[in-house]
Amino acid sequence: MAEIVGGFCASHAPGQIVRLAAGGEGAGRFMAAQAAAASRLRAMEPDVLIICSGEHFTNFQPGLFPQVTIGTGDAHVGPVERWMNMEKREFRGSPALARHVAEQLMVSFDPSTSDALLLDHGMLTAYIPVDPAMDIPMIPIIQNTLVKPLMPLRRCYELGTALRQAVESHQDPLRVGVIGAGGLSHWIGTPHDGVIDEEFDRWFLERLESGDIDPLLDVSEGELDHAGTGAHEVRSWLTAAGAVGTARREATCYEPISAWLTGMGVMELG
Amino acid sequence: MTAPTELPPLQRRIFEIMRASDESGPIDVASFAIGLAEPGRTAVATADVAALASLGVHPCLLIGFAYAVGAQRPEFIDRLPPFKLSLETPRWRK
Repeated sequence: MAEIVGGFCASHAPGQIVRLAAGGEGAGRFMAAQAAAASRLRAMEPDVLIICSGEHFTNFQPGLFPQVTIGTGDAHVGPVERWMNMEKREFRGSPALARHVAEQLMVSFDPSTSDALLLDHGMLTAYIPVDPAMDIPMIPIIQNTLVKPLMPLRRCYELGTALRQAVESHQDPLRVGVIGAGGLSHWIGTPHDGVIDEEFDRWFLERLESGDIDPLLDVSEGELDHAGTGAHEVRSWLTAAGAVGTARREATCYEPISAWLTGMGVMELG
Repeated sequence: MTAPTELPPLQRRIFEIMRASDESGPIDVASFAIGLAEPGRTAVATADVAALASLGVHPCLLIGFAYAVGAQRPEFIDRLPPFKLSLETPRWRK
């Protein structure tokens, strides 16, 4: 049977690529913490990586926007962004496991599936540190963190626990890593752009790390707006945490990096 | 103010502009305005990010559009309308 061996969560921001030096010492600490989490996951020898990330209008536009989409393709193409400074290429998928997961999730969720998903920085800034050779098969799970109404935070966590059950019901002895990518507080396309809500970020990390997550899961859509339009990406953290389980959650880094406009955190899972 | 029914095609066009610029870098958006209703047509044709914001275009699309037309961040951010927050106090501040 397949098993989830571990994972991590990490913020992503275009600044990681295009303004690395501007992030200063905090950026160095974030990149080091992400590299450590990625190295730790690589040492667990995953056969497949499931990466949960918010949609950035890469695949879907506002008039057609599923809540959860599972990439079931043989391969996924990316990155779409020229500023990622890498050639667009194919990344191996894991179609059999992806389809199995989608079928199992249909019991309690209604995921969409796509065999032609495009990948952007959200997925790849987390994937590449784990496997610089870019060879480990990937199952992207794209979540709606942009277009309201959004899936409640509690449902996102429950999606993770359902994801774990789905993986564990697969007959092949696959070792699966799970990554949650996105957040923490940041504002996109508003005059608040550049504001980082450290109070929210630290509260979120402490709640998730300690396991005292009910107050966190009860945060409403309107409340979360106060931490920024981009803060809704923490949904991917909750899904990954729900999938990996409660064995170990350690926030190894938090840096409010103003040059990247984002509260940047890393949490190791499992 | 654009009628609500006109926002979907406007946002779809901006999505198309973003994807096109992924391939080619900053682009001339004038041709993408063809067929859009006013005032969205003028806003797109003149790459007026603030005007698009006032028409209700999603903030993330605004950012993508701004970069697609080669705008620099400080130039347009200050001209955007404020985001309307709910009146509830977030629990992490209680």
